[in-house]
Amino acid sequence: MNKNSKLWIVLKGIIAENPVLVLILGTCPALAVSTSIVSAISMGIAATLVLVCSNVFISLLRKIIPDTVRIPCYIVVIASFVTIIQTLLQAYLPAIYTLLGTWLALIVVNCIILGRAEMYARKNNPLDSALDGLGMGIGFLVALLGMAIIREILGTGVINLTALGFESITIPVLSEYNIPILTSAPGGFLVYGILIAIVNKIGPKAGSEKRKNFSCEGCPSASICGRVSCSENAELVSASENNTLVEKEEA
Amino acid sequence: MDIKKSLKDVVVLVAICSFFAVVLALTNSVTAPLIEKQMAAAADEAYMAVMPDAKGFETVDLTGLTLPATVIEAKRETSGMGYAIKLETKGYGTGMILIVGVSADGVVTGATCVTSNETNGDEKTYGGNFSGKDMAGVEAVELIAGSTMTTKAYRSAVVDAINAATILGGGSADLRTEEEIVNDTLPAGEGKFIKFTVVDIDGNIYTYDDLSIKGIYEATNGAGYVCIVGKDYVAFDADGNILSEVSAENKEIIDNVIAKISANKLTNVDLAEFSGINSLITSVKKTESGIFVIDVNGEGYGIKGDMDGYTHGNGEYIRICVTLSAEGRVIDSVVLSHSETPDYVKDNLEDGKYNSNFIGKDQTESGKVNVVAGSTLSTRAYKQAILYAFEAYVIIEGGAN
Repeated sequence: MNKNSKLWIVLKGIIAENPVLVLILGTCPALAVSTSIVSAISMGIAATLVLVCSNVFISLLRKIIPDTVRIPCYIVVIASFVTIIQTLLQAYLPAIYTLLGTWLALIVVNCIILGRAEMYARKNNPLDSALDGLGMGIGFLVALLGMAIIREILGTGVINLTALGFESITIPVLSEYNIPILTSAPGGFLVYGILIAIVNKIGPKAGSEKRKNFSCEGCPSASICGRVSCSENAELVSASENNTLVEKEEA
Repeated sequence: MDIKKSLKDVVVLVAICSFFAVVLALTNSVTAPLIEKQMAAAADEAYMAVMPDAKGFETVDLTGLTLPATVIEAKRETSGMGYAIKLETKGYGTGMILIVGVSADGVVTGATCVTSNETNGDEKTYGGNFSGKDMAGVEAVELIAGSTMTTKAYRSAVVDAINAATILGGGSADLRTEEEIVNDTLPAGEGKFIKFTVVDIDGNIYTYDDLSIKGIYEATNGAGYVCIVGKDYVAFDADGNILSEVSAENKEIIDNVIAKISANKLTNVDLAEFSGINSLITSVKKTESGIFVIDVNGEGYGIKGDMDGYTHGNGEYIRICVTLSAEGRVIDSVVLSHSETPDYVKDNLEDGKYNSNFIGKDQTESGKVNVVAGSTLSTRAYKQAILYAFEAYVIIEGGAN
């Protein structure tokens, strides 16, 4: 697939650069909210909306927001969108609002959102930024849903749909013989770890060349460092910036 | 410093904040009425839960009304069924909020805990014990062992709800606390009372077996006592003269209480007549029936210092009052004063946890009670004091010289 295409911008967030399973971001809400399928889907949709909206807005203002205050500006933008979504949920979908509880407000400090704003939205146009937000959001939702399916079905044997106003679905056999630890924190970590392992094994990056990026562009200390910290790696930094550094990843 | 750059930073930040402030205000203006409606419906849901047959509720204006302090909101059921009262009380933790439904004739229709910070969680189901009960029935609901503070607060709040509903319905209720009623029953006590179960401030003994007796208060100025029997608060003076009204059904109980208190009057024992009594024994009193009340000084941290002997409290003894039966067993013991380290002694000595190890034990058995790690000096002093009391009892009873 053409990695410059719009479709790839979306798809990479779902598979190759899944924020939860590959980039290992947003693990806190991932573990906390993935005990139920309904809450996982709700959180995924809410985070996706915040991601898309904040990416678009930050991209629109990328040439206006000064470097020195970019983080506070991003936080204001992200927090505002989270508050809007929170308020709308409280007004129109109170059951979902109650289900997500504290975790809804904590979307503000979700690394995925600030991370994509910093790494992508401020360097790309609004359309690409929106697609990136959409891809990352769908990737987040897919990861949460995958974890929730395992944890809720195997952990309780019941799919709880009461927040949607429906009867819960009881799964035969599993409702009696289930693995309760999956619904608790240790079980969450276990499921998370297994999913990461699976994705690492069968994911699209396996066996491919990987460009290792030592560039200052991705470094959070770039504006204040003056390359002092990387003096030992000066050759690597220069090679990376000249796109001459390639490292073959083991299959 | 580049002023222009800084100014630009400020302007951009303020502009973004302002923009979103407007957006949020607009969002709020659209959603606030919906949210308010939902919150009211949710609140009504909780009220409906305690009064299932209710048609609807209207909030009662509590301004100017004298209601129990725990009442925070009251709603009148629109068809006249009664009231649903929201209360905030304190059990083991603070902030226990309950909603209690009370019918027009003072019967609880339901009680539920809305929020709480209790530890055991019994408050979530305890409310079921009150449905269909009037005031007498509510007061008779048993507490749950292990959640005494929680359930006591819960029960007390339900009583408050019934009183509140009575007042709101145009009736009257006695909102005084137990202590206030005691003060009003015996004004000569000048508001200074202590509640005792076994040993009073002078060491007089009273043990009561009648379960209808809720408690006995003694005026610290010697003016007399107030005994609570059922709903009666009965005052009598130190000579046993009844000073307030008592119902016919409780008269016999009160007479027994007075007789027991009188029979257990203590007389001082002259320690100079006996040799071998430890100098830490400061006083010994005895009843006609042979009960001993012995004041002992315990040499705890305040005197002996820490285990290395370098630092110690302000040089005060632990003053302990030990009550021994005629047969030489511990009836009770209590700390009168101390200067031990508060953190170490609070759970063990002040709250009576440690002394409960000695109740019913004789001298040999008391000697086998372990001290408490973490309060070694204090509990060792306490145990030694009890053993000294036994020694004094043996000497005095044996008439040893």
